[in-house]
Amino acid sequence: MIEFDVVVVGGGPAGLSAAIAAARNGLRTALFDENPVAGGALRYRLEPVSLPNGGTLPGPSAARALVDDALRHRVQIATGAVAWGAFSGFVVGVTGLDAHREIRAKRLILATGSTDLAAAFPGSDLPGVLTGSALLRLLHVHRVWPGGRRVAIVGAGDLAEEMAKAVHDAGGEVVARGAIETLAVSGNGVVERVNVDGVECPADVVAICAGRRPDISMALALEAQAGYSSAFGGFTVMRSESLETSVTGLYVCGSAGGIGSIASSLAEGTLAGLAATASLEKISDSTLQQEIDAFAGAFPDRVQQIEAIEPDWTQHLVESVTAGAGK
Amino acid sequence: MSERRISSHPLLGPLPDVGMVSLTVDGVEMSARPGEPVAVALLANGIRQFRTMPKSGNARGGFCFAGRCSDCQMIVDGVPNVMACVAAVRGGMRVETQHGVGVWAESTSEAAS
Repeated sequence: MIEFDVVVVGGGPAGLSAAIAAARNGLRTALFDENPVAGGALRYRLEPVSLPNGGTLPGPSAARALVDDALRHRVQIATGAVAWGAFSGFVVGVTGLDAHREIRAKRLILATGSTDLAAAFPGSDLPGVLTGSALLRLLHVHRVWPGGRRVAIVGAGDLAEEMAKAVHDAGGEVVARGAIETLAVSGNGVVERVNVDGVECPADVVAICAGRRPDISMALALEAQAGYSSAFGGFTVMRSESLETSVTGLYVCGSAGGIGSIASSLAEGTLAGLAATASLEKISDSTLQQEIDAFAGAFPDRVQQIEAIEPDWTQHLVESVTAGAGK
Repeated sequence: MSERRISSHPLLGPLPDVGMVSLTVDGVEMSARPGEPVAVALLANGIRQFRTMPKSGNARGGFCFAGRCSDCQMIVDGVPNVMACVAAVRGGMRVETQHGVGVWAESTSEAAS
């Protein structure tokens, strides 16, 4: 079995900066990303990004710069590689390489990002209804319109704010904006009309910005403790100040640890990479403590606030499992 | 180039020219950029319905475009349930609309095993 000092799952801003932080301190580091090109959200979010090594670049250029930096520090980056499972002792199952592989890691860093939430409303299954980040990917990565160019943007949050500018820059028109709760979509086989806040108009595309939730399934499979945080997008993994989970040697960074910004994902990646490095005694604990203090000073709202879950609350509605069951 | 493609963009610049390849969709020949997701090639050719659902029969056309939601499952080179939003275009590919539940033919299940 192939073994690395550090394995990073996810090649977005958090994963790339984590891999760079570990590799530049001499650790044998591998990074797996399921997409054909690494970069994650940087590939479709065009706002300028301040990189850890100085310099400010638009998202797609920042992604390329981070990949170049990682390769320069001899990170083994595998794209099109799906890390489908993780097992105790940090064995990661990966498909999409030359063959199916099981990769062993001394330290495992999960930078698995987040997934857009879906929403239910009349006509929600019509072709042309899609998530906000899906529309950004189509416009910015794949350079194609999913139908006509008249777009309704519903919901709120950072993606909704970016969406109007993205639609305009790509040559489209925002025909409606409003709340998901008031939305109805209709059409014969595809989106043709929307009704937002009681106003009906023709449209071709509906971009749903209902928020995002952290992708934490791999951390849960390794039995990391989780809790509920409304500020961070729902159930998140509990982490120490160095972003280590309740499982020693397992770190979570970026949106997977709670919905944040590109800037916080970059900083968390660096911190998680350095924490793994310190635990393998390649940098001193005092150096790591300086990084922890700097991170907490720069991103005070990222210091985790897991709200208490009372043991008798019903946590799983279908199976009627209470939060305290099994404890 | 189709106007569905975003050939120029104020922040991203011009769409680079590449040698196009051809694929068939339900028997009709179309052109696509090699390596792009099948779903993107279909959208660029004006096709917005990728599959129909097993129960409702409603058409679906892709929702997440990130390999998660299964709205875009199609039959590619005879193999059902291929997520068109992540499967990469190759020249000569045969893409078919998937109606209802994907059915594995004897020959394709042997070929895939």
